[in-house]
Amino acid sequence: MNPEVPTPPETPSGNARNGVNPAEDRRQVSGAPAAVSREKPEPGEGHQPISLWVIAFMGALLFWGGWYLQRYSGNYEPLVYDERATLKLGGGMTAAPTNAPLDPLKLGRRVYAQVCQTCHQENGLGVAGQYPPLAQSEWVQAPSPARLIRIVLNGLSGPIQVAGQTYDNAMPAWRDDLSDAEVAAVLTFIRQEWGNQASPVEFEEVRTIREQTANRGSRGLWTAWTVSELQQISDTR
Amino acid sequence: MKTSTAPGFLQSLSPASRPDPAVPPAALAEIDQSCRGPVLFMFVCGVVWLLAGTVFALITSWKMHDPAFLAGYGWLTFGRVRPVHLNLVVYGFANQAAVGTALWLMCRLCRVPLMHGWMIIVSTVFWNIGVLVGAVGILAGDSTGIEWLEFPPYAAPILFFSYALIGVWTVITFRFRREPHLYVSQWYLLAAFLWFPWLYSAAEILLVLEPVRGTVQAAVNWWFAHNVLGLWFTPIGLAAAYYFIPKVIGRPIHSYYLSALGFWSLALFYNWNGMHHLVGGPMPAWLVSVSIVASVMMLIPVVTVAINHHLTMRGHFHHLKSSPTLLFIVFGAMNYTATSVHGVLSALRSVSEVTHFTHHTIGHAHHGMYAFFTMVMFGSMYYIVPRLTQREWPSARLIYLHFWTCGLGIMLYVGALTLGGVLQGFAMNDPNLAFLKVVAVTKPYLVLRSLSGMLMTVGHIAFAWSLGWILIRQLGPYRDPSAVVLGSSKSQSTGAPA
Amino acid sequence: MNYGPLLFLGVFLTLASSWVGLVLVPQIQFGRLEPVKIEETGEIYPMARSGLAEQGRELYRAYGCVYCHSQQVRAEDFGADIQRGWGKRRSVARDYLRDKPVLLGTMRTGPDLTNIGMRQPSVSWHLLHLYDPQMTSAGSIMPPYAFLFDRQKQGLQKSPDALPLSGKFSPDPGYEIIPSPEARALVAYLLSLKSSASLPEVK
Repeated sequence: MNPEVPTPPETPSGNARNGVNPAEDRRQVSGAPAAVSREKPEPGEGHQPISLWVIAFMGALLFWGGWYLQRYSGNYEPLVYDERATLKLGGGMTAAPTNAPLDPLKLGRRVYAQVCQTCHQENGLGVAGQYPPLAQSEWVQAPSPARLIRIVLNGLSGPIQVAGQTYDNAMPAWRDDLSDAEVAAVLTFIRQEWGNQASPVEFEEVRTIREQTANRGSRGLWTAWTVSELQQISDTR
Repeated sequence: MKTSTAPGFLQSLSPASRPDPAVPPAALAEIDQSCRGPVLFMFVCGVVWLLAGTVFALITSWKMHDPAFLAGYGWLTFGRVRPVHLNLVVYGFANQAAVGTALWLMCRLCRVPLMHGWMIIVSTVFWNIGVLVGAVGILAGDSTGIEWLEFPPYAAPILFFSYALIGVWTVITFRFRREPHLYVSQWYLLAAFLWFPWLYSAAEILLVLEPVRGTVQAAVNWWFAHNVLGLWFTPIGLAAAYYFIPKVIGRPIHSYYLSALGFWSLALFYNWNGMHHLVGGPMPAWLVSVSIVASVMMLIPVVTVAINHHLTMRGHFHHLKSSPTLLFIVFGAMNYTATSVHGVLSALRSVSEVTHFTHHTIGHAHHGMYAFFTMVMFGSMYYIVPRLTQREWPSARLIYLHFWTCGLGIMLYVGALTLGGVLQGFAMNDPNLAFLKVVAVTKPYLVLRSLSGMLMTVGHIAFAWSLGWILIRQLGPYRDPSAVVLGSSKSQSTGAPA
Repeated sequence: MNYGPLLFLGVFLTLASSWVGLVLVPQIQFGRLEPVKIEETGEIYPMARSGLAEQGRELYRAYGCVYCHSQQVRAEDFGADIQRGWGKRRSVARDYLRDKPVLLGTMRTGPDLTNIGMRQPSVSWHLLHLYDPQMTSAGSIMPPYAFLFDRQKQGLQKSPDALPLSGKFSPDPGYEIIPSPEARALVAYLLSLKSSASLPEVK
């Protein structure tokens, strides 16, 4: 170590060499600033061959890719959305394996989630002062679903008393959005959920009432029922 | 200025032509000096946007667990600050750090000083105007609503004009290169500079100017957005890693053949990945399946690059102790492998069923853009700036503070959102769990994300401080006393020339 | 690999391949889909939105609702979208024919909104929820959009449009909150979001 040359401070952007003032040293050699002078040579490339394991790995991946494409591409059809659809002999595509028809209670629960739950809540208790409860409701548990079917198809407006509380809101008509099977299923569901015990609702009942009340308005503009109108319809079997 | 001595076609395919690594330092210094104005200008602008983008990031993150925060103003609503954050850090910071680094790398590797620097300066001015106009536009409510392309239509031409200048510059520099051998970084840089304008203009035309009908928009959107990551930022990040790793440790890259395989497999597979953002969505099955296959095929370039980098570094990890550049770059390169493998898994339908639509996706995006790309850019800037300013970084402590806060910050970020996102996904797939309960599951992880963001903010401030200090401070113990402009009489007096 | 033109050619062809495969082919395959007529109801699907709902859609875009809400229902046994009641069937390309831009969304910080018009058809619920989500959904992390509402001095009587606020949500005494036209447009858009019609490609 040269005692006449002060040890330079450690500079963050490079390695200070052992005791020799790098700036002095390299400047004399290169005429370039210290940072550049202490650089290692420009990068180059070695020529190690590619390992056979890498080739094998690539091959396995390509094989998998090819298999996946032929299995899950739905014959490259633009309107086939389910990747599990397969070609049928004689043309066309099979439906996905799980398109079996639903049992009514499952369908009913699903329809409830789709259109009823946001107001009547998941627990069927409604919202105090706004939406009446369905759990332990005398309207829901009536022997005949005649009034219920009408409410669901055409809606309800005006005050209604449920379990001792009065509610005055507007329930929309679901005639345009639910099929007979869906109405029957959701009413069956609410009539035996949350401790309710009432008979299931048949799809023919819904269809009959839908036809009977078809003149209460038009598509998108159905006239809602009021309680006094409903009370003229029997709810006993 | 010599024209390039183009080799014959067959000759050019042979790896036998190697670069002459013994480039005299004086020549390198001359190249650095020519880059000084344009590249420093770009870096400084980029760091300003980094700070602004970080502020918006903190605001956005805080709003997610405290929705009443700053909620009184329409222009600061979550749905506006979130895209402003994304666009500022991507197009404001990341783009300028990327292009600045790429320019310097291109000049160094082509062994030619930066020509027509005025073009770069004009381009940078316009780019920053475009970013500012775009960001203000989003806050004003003019966002296009298209992810990764939110800047209003009036900002796009400014950006496009700016980019066109850079593109022209790249071609000219490449044409007049003095080094006939093309190093792997140059392949990546050239490819990135050719791919980006195609992606950007196609997206603007097909989504904003003359929108295609229906879900074809979604296809174009995610073809564009994913390729900004994969065909623009990733190649530039890899180009930087491929340069700095061998450069700092003083050894060549392990295998030219692996480099070539990695490059071409990336070029072939990466751009087909886009539809993995739409698994389960309203797209034909084949479109999604094709992207899933391409996503899994990405293991080929990712593993190749990982092997190449690792076998280059093997036995030389001790250099990490003395080179902050290497620290950032190796952290970034390792996270490139990690985020890519993570991405491959996320593309599979069975995994996507759980993680799609959750915070997991955000964690993954930051893993790639930050833990890989941004950290590589930090490392690159730490190397490049002293060579441009002819001064050393004033404080090693600030640099290590930057590294540890940002490194730990991003790891916490990715960990929190990955775990939180998976839990959120499982909860969402349980139809018996009310949605508000699903939201409740995510809240602790959103708080952790804000904490990690604060850590990273400290790091960004440290970096900006270092940059300001090295640029502005004229005096100080770390100023290189031998700072010279080559050719001046001062350099002649100091000793024998090289 | 030192030959510039060869590099350029390879780089061009690789991106061209995905441009063809992921942009051009989809455009050819389903970029010209048309609305269909539903036999049972005689309606065209997808229906054009009302002017007010289209205005609302622009607000949905401008306020960035897409960053928390998706508008795509996944298939029956993929995730639990249909079991949650978010739709009767999965979403398909035809559902988005009239949308510019298509707002599929990629995040479900909040629930999917494809069928919110069917699931929650109450205008007053939506207005309350937008004014302060805590009123209808305690614990929600959706921000309040009170700036979409106007605060005005109450006249001799409460305005029929005034929001029925109570407790800590109510404004100062003597004041009432009424929805601005922007709020009404946004709610009109939300109520227009229904896509459960059976289509030839998916029942």
